[in-house]
Amino acid sequence: MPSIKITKKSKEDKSNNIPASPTNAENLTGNLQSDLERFKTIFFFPQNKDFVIRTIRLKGFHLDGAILYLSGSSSINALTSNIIKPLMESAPENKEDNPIDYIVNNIITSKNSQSISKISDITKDIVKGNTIVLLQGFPEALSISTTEFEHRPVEKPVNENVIKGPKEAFVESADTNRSLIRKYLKCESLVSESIEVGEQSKNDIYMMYIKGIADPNLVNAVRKKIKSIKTDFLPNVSILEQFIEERSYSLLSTILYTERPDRAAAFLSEGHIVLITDGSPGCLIVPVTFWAFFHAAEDQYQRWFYGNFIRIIRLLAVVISLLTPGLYIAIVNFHGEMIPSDLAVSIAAAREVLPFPVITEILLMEISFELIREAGVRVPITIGPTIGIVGALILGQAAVEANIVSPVLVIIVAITGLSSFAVPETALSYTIRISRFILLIAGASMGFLGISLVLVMGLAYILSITSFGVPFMSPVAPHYPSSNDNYLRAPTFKQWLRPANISQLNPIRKKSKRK
Amino acid sequence: MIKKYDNKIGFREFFAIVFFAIGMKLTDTTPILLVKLGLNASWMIPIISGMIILVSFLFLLSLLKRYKNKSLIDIIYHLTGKFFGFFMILLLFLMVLEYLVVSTRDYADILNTLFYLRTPLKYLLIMLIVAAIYIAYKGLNIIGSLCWFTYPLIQLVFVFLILLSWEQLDFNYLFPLGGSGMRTILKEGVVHSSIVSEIILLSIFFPKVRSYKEYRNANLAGLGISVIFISIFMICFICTYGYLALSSITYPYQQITRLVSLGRFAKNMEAFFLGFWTIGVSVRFGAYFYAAATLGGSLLKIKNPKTLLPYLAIVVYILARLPENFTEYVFSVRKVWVTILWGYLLSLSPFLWTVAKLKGEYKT
Repeated sequence: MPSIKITKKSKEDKSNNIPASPTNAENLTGNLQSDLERFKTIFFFPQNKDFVIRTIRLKGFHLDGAILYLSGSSSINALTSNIIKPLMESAPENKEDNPIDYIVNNIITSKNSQSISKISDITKDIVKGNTIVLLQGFPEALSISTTEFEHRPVEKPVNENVIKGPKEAFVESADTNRSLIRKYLKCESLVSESIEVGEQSKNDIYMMYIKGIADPNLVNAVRKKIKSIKTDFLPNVSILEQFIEERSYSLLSTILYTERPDRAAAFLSEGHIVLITDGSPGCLIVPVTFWAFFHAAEDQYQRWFYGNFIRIIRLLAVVISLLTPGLYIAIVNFHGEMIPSDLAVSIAAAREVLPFPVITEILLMEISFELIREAGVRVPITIGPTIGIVGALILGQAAVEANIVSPVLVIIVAITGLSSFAVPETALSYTIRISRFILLIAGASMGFLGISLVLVMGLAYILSITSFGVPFMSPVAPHYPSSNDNYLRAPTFKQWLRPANISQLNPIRKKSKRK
Repeated sequence: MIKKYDNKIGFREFFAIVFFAIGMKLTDTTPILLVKLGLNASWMIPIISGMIILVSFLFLLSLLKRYKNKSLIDIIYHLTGKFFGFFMILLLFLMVLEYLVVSTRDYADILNTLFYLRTPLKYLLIMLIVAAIYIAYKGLNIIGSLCWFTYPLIQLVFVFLILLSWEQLDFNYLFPLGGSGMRTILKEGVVHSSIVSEIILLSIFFPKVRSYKEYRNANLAGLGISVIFISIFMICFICTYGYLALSSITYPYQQITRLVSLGRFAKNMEAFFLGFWTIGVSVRFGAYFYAAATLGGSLLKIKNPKTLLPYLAIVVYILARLPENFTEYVFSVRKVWVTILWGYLLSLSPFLWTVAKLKGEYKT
């Protein structure tokens, strides 16, 4: 059996054997034929059907040239009407001018063009969708932006729905996503830096923040972290999130993924940083605190009373979905006296015919529920309704009638499941779903004491973690000045303070009416 | 203006630490200790102790203001030299250690006698110590955050318990107001000032607090709230049982949680209070373990006190398992300790202040 040994060194050796990739110092020669040959080897020309070389004669300049682009990455419409047509038809007014400059300034009608001479830069530009014009006798090339990738139109959010508020979501195009954010934040100091990541596939990561509000140290830290990523392929922000997060093995996520541009804009205005890439219908927000996972966009859009009402309901949902199974088993096994006697009798009567101990029952039901949940996500839409039938009928009714679980337990599992759907963020939802089992075991082994000890240790852990240096439970603990937008929120006119745990550059959002 | 990453704790966090260190005493055997001496007026003892300790605390504040960024440990070493300083700190360390041992065993006994009758004591002890050590490992900042985060919860539960026990309170039990006589009350208040002595002890964390002002206010507020709560609960205990019955009860707080009920359906709520009480207790032990480790670290010249924590845990576990009849032990040993220590604790900061004054440290 042949063995394949992969070491880091063998990878380096292999990369040396690839002739095509251009070195950093390589420049254009000015000889059209030899330059074209170079690009043909770089892009594996005859096999690679997407790489197009179109020769062109510039009548007005009496020059031969060539146009290079990757079909699929650049817009054919822009190419023909903004580049080829004007180049063929126009002539210079003054023949002594440098044709490259003249073409850039007077002929090309495209939105963006520049001259470059490094072969590596040109290659990069072609990959990104730009069109390159080479001219005989000039060691410079024109790079004209014609990028156009296919993507879907802006649609409604799928996961973060609201009743009242904007109903548009990010799509898989970084340009569109940035434009969506700029629509909400018309602010001259909103900066979007681009950072290139990936050795094979060169993907741009856009880092957006508001200068003067975002903490410069934070911006530097995030930039450094992104630049330090070593990978050959970084397709979207979901992978980026796993590259830049601090604790990969932790149960808690410290980076927020949102698909709502209005939410991203709101975070930007508080001094957070937004990361956007092509290929993700969402963006990342760093740094975030627990409250970002707990809040929903709707809380701020609904009036003060209604917004706080739904927040209390959701806080309840977090507590219920985290604790109910653990509390149930703790009460049944250890603190039976807590149950009112009537209820205790009915629970005992229902349990009389059951063969299993409570912990088996509850694990059985919890795992079945998680199965339904996972199956519901993976199932093809056409056979989706089956899940409902299987879940409701077989697991609920049949299990009770077959005396495998008690009816009370079905209620417990149902209310737990329902509450976990009310948790707005999937990351937090996963955390709660997993910790529920830990608390279940704690409750089964030591009752309320076990639950409390696990809870307090968990709390100590949550309080100790940070997201890019920001304590996860701040501004509550440790306390920082803020608009107290955590458990509840203040009326909009009173939220005049930016949270100091994120940035302290420009703490006053607007002047308070009352002094 | 708060600096963002200054690694210090503020007013709220330190206030919560003080509350947990002092206020949580109302849930252990401390009230019984006082009731045996002060009878039906024993609720005044914590107030008097609080006022007495305040005098000592004012001397300490003056010292802390003079020596900025110096903790109590540094000040002791600075003023009394390495030799005497070592013994003074050793005494402090032993105090904390003794208190840790007594209270872990105390709380484990409460759990064992009232809630987990069939669980061996050693497992309960281990569970309490493991949780506390885990919290202590996170360091003072996290302990502060944890205290502040759980403070509203514990506070609400205390208030809730007072409201629930309201209907069974008989305020006639409080009279005659003087109890065993004002003189006894005053004397016991002074002697038992060690029940609120944590505000002196916690000044070993002074450099970790953002500013002198925040430190002072946090201590005063924490002391005030704690003393008020201990007194209110003692009134509750006295008015529920009468002082005679009360002095034969071992765990008044847990007993009162067994008495209260919320309507016809929630008749037995002790497990509910047990949950929150456990949270408070483990947070408190976390703080205590960290304080013990800090003191021990300064004795052994260890830079990172956290390295001492596992050894402390083992020592506390072994010592806590030693006594056979713990209830008797608590009352006898604590009585001895309390009476020895009150003098030391009360005189520590005036003594240091006098030394500083004599040395002429206040002149520059």
